[in-house]
Amino acid sequence: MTKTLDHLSRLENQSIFIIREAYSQFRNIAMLWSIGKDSTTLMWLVRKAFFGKVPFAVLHIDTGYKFKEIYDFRDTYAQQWGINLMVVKNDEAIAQGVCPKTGKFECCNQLKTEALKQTMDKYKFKALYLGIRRDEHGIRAKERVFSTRDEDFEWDYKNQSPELWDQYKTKATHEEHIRVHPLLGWTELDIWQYILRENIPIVSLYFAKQGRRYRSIGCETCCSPVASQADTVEKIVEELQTSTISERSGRAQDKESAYIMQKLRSLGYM
Amino acid sequence: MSCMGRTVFIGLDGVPHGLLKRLADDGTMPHCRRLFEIGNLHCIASTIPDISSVAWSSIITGKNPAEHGIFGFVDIPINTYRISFPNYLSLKSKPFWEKSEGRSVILNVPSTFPVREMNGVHISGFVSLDLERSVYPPGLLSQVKALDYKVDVDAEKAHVSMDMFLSDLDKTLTARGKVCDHLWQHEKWDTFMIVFTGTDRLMHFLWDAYEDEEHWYYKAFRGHFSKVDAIVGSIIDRLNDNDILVMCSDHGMEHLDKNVYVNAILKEHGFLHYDPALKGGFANIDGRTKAFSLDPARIYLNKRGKFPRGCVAPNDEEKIIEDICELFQRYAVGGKAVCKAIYRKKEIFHGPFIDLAPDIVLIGNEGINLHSGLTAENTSEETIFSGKHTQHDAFLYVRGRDKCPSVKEGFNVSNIIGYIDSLKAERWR
Amino acid sequence: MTNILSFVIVGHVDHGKSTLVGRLLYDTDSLSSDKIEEMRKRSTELGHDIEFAYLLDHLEEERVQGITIDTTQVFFKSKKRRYVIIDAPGHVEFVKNMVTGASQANTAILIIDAAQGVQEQTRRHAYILSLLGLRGVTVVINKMDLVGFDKCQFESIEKDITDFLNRIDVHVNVCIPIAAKTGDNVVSRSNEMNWYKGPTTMEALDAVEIDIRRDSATFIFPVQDVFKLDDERVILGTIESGSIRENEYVSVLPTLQKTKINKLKVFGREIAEASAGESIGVITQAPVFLDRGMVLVNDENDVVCSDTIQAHLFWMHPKSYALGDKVDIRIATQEVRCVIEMVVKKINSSTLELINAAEAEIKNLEVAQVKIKTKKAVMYKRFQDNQGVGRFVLVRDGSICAGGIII
Repeated sequence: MTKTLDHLSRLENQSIFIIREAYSQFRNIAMLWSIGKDSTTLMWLVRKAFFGKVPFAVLHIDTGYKFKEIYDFRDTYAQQWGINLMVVKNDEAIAQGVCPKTGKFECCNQLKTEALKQTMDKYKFKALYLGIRRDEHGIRAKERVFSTRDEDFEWDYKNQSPELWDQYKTKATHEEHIRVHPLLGWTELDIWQYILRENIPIVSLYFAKQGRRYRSIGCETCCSPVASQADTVEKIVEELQTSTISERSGRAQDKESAYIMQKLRSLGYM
Repeated sequence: MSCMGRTVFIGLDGVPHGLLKRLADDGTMPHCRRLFEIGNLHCIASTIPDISSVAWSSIITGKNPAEHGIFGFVDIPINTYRISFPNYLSLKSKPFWEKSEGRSVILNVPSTFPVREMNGVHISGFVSLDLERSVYPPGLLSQVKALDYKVDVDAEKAHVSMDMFLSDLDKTLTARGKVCDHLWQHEKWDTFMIVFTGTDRLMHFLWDAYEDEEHWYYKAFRGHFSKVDAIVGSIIDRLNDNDILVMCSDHGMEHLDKNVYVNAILKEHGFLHYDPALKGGFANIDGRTKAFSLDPARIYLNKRGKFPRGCVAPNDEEKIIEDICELFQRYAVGGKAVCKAIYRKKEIFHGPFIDLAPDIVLIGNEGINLHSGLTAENTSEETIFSGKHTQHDAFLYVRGRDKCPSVKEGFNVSNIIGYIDSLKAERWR
Repeated sequence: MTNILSFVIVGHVDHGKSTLVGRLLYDTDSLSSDKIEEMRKRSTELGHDIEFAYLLDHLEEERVQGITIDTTQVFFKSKKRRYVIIDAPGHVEFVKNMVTGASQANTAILIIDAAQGVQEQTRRHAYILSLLGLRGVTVVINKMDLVGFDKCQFESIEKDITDFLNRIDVHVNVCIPIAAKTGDNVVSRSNEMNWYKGPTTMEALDAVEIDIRRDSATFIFPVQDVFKLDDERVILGTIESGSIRENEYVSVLPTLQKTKINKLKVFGREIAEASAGESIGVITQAPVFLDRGMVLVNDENDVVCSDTIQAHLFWMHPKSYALGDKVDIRIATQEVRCVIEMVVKKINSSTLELINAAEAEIKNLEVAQVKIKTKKAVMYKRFQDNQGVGRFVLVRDGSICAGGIII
């Protein structure tokens, strides 16, 4: 009897296919690793795609404002996984005093986007892996798996070429670079379930301490935690499942009833 | 330790008599096989309805549902159409451990959340909302947590990835075994009760892997039972000869072909009226409704004075019950009758809470899983589950061949506690 | 066991796609009470019934603010399984976006306005579905309330669309009269159309079987890359169909060499067998030359290896194809220079009228039956026999400009 792949295995195999597809087209590719749950999951898949190796440079954009936990995690696993890590910094802007106080947009633009641009130019990277998901927010819904950026990093989302089946735009013109999104079709819940299944190490910031945890992590100055009791991956998965259910179930049901209902439903008892 | 020996009571949730015998015979459960050679294995009946919350409540109290007040996982309190979820607080009879003088360890009995003070240790089973309210005495909580204890497998995983579900099932069982071990060694007790619930979960999702050797999860299915057997083995190895050992299940299990929706059938035949476009479930039942059903298949007349928009007058009750029984007697899906048996309230319930009992309970025919969701538009459907409960084919095992009172015909799970008491009396004599 | 079905809703832009999505979400309890309340309030203020189309606008607004889910992947759950609607309404401005979405879908709903009937866009979208290989569609005739739930009107449109779809080889799973606005025959059965005895839209979707690559049992493994791992050369790829075990023999196409699979590799665990859908690595017995674009098969007689391909293709680039232009064809990981040697016929994708095939070009949004000549032999099968190696794209300057299926 041939095995029918389950949902997570199907996502995993598709992502590995995409990762290998990009690498076969662009040997001068790099990967952006924010140390967050998505890009760490991507790193895990890259290691699976290449049997434990990471055969390209991994960029970490360091604004200097990241959580201490992020730096610790990065250094531990960069070493353990044998990663060719390049820390990307816009030293010039930092020297000029750009910081969160100068305005969030300017700070992000200078310390992240500009820093990345300089590095891409310097090392002539033609493609870049990112761990974005379609369900994250806003405009990302229109993203393609292989997505073109022009020399100014601009994205012309109204004028993208189509993607058919497993065929992508895999050639970049002289001025362009291509962003590759192997996790585009994953949801937040998929990610956590996969982390659970694979036992992927994750920065401790995601786990609740004193009733609060981070749902996404970045610079310490711009992140705020949400109320949660979830202090393990297991509980985060449960939290995501029951919160959607309790939102969905409408009515004045309290959270406990929603929880019971979800448990009974998943067993076919309701 | 008292001279009359201790009592050990092991529950295997949902495990059918037939399956247990077969897995013992084919070598999957060698410890059970060993036990069956030195004791009696009986085929017994579950409660009506055959659902864990009702059956375990009857097992631990020795009472009829109309005496202990638990009729299902969900209920609709009088004067409302609001769904509520009965729990241990709703249980209106005392469990055996509150009636005996000895000290008890009670691990993972379903529908005993939230725990309360008792003489011994009590860790509640499915559905438990959090570990904090599942462990008595509270001082034990940190140790239970340290052993990675989890009340139940996350069944949602089976809908996403069977491998993940199986690995969680295994983890849950391992931790349960560790806690069992810990309590056995560190607690003093006269009665020790443990229920394994993973068996029920596994059979719901993978019944088709039980008989089909070609099935991808054939080995995994048997693997879980072997592991349960190993824990059972480690328990019996530590028993003395004069200890009483009893094992049982709360209901049987069989192959599931189809879900059949009782409310959809009631609606189709004009007994039930509600506006499906409105949200709020049972709250939208309108005043023409004569009857509705709650999971799994408990039919309640919409009686005047009992429910907010009740319309059934006392004089009309008998006629409506007759009509509904007749409808389900002949109702068939794909040429097959959906009901194996139909019970009227008075035939099956007796006790002070009989007014809260359903007027009719249906037992699904072979392969037919009766359901009472309100949102079902079809009267029947295929589902991703492959196993369903049965009212017949639960089991009872008692170690020791002599001095055992006989198990009479019609024995059901609510007779177990009385049976154990008579065993004790027999030994005492 | 996994139960997620993805589908697209296609059809004319005004025929009620948003309303249908809103209805599906509402009636399957996929919305929070706040959202429903808000919608109710807003509609009451405007003095009419709940307008489900607003719901998506509303989600869209929230999405832009980054609060909630996006609308291009809408999830909901029936009792039977989970669903994801790919590229939901509001984003189908461009045919190529619709094509991108539909190529990822398991099935499709084609929506038609009962008052307006089959329109050009309806037919074009249907045609694209057929070219993408979606062989069965569910047709819903919407806004039945506007035509007084008239059976004759329904049957006349049903006949129109069924005739059209049959001509392009698309099977109509079922044709359902609905009113998405009031929910008739979406999830709940209609009280207004007792003459209709078929399934509701939800029932029809629940009845669709997820295609689990039942293709042929032939092992087909397009080589994606060769990766040097320490001293080994690992052949990377995703199995297109069939399965493989260690120590089995395979043929290399197009060179027809034979080799043995010495080892199957997946990171983190040992495997002895792998099957369709799995991304693996294989180590073959040396020495055999392998590179991206070659294909490993266990039965070379079951596949075609040729430099001539008969196909239907759909051109979707503003710059027309002029006969004799050199482009690249991609089938799985194979990529070869080719020319369209002959246009057998050209069809207007909405009227199905034949266009003068003698015209020496294929224009944007035109469908053509063509004969393609490749520079060297490629391996393929007919689409009806194997989806993965029965479809192709044409690429010019690195961008996809046409898609097609092999006949």
